[in-house]
Amino acid sequence: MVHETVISILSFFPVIGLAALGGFIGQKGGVWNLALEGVMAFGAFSGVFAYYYLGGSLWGALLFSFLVGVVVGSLLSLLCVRLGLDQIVVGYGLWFLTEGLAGFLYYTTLPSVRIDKTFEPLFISLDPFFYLTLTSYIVLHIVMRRTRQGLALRAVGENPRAADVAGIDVGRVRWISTALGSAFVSLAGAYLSLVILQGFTYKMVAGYGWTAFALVIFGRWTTSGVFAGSLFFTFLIGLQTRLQVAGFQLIPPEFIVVLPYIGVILALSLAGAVGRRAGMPSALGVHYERE
Amino acid sequence: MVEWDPELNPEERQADASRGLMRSALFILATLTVTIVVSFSIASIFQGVGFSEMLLLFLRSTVGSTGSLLRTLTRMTPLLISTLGLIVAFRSGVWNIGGEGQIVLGAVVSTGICLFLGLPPPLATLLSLVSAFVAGGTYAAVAGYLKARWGVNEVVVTMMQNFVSLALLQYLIDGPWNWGKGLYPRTEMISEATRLPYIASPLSSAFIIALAIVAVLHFLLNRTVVGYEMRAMGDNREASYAHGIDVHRLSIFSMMVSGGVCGLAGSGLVLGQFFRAQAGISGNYGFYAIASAFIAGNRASLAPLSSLLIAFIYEGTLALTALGLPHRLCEAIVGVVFIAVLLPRGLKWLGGDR
Repeated sequence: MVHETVISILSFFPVIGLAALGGFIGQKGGVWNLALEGVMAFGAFSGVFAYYYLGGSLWGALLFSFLVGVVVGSLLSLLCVRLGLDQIVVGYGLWFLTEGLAGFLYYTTLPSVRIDKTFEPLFISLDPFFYLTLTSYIVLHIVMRRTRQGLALRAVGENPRAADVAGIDVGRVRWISTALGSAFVSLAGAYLSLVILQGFTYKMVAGYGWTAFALVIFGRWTTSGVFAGSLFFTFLIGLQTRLQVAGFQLIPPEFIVVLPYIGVILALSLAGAVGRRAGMPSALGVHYERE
Repeated sequence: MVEWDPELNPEERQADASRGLMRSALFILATLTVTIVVSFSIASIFQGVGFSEMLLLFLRSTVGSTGSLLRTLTRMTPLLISTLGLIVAFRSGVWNIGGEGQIVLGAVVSTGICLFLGLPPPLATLLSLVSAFVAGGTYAAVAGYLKARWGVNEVVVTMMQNFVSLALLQYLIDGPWNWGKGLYPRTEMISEATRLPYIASPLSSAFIIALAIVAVLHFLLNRTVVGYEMRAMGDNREASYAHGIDVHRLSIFSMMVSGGVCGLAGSGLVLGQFFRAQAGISGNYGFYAIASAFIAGNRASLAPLSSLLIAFIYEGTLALTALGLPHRLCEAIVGVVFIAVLLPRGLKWLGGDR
């Protein structure tokens, strides 16, 4: 009983985990992506779209939505990194655009699609995608710590001028990190629509994109912190829905949902109060222009 | 948006500015037209809804009759008030993106005062407006304080605050403040005497309050010392600090005014339109206001135009839901216009002209 509950809660992990991972990669390179919520919705739409029009393969649909994420991230990068527009403003514009387009295009271009396929469990009743998410975190952790690419990514997020002097192409690294980050966020959305909900619904992303955004900050911009935060929050969502279904509640569900948001405000304030930097990349949100 | 050229004399500069404004307006209208044509085409190809049918309905329901014009202006009211609120912060270089949450808080406080304090009507209305301002202002000032005191990023804090107050509203209308009738989560209605009078139903006098705020904030930003300091801080925070402007106090102050004005938008929604707190009362106006503020180039005097533009899109796309189109179309159109407005600035940078 307990075992099954834990498994079913964990099956939601890829949604939160991948979205937070994507947000993490983007911010680490020094670019805010405030459009996570919209990118996720757009990924969810494009997954179902590809499933319907491109032959009904789950992996194919997920890959398609990953690529769509690359395109959306590249647009963000074009506007912020190349053209130097304000990242917060562009992020908001992109949020409107992607979330609006996802809803509009879904209801106009698709009939109500029901996804009838699902992944076979790979190991202890969890599907391959769960393990793919875990692997992504491990790979990312190693890349960030042990490789030249990881160092370059951290460098452009912390000190783009020094990175530039050291021969790193700041614009290129930021473009790659923004595009790759969006791709993972988009993938998280596609997993939500294709596998968890088996269809697209209005408001399906339900704040998970913003949660992911918060988890990056809450995880103090470290892979282990973001991972732990995502896992913790996955359990929180799972427990809350199950308690609600079971008909009793310790605290109103509205307040459980806002816990990560309050947590973020407290964590940031506390870090500020004790004079720590909270781990935030120093050049996050700052446009870099070569002299 | 309009560039400063020291070579020009005042008249030439004035003419240059209005030319720039004209160009921007034409550009926005062109983008809007193209976006509408493209999205309607998609809808008519896939859904088989007639193109002209959509266009007619869109126009008829926004500007087609006195009634629809009044509805568009009603839609414009909360948008305009919250746009103005955000402009105060944006012009000061402080990012208040918590407009939505401050609107909600204003609405909650207004409802609470009108329903539960049992004050005589004119006093209840007045106190409810003032308290909404104070509540929204205090809420935003928390973010301003955290930024000033410990350098906490205000974008993150105000965004997170949105969810907190939305959850508070949800909790209140589901639980302790629930009307107890009907399935729809909402509170009881406030008494008729506490409501703002109509100009012409459904347009309430909240619209006049909105226009008054335009004048007040235009004056504050352009004709007062504190407004000058705010704009200076928005242009260059470090330089302002070096010139002796207390940027910490000023950040908190501009956040407070900004959040307070957004709170008034929420109060106006309760006192002039819904007469109660209910789910979705904030209508995403706080988010649309961000787009609106930027389309207005962060100028209070242009806020009525940009809010009207978004109200027009909002109301028109809402009418199209009758033909089976999703209201998400509104977000998509606003998103395109929003990004299109930003593009010329970026491209100018590309050409090295700054």
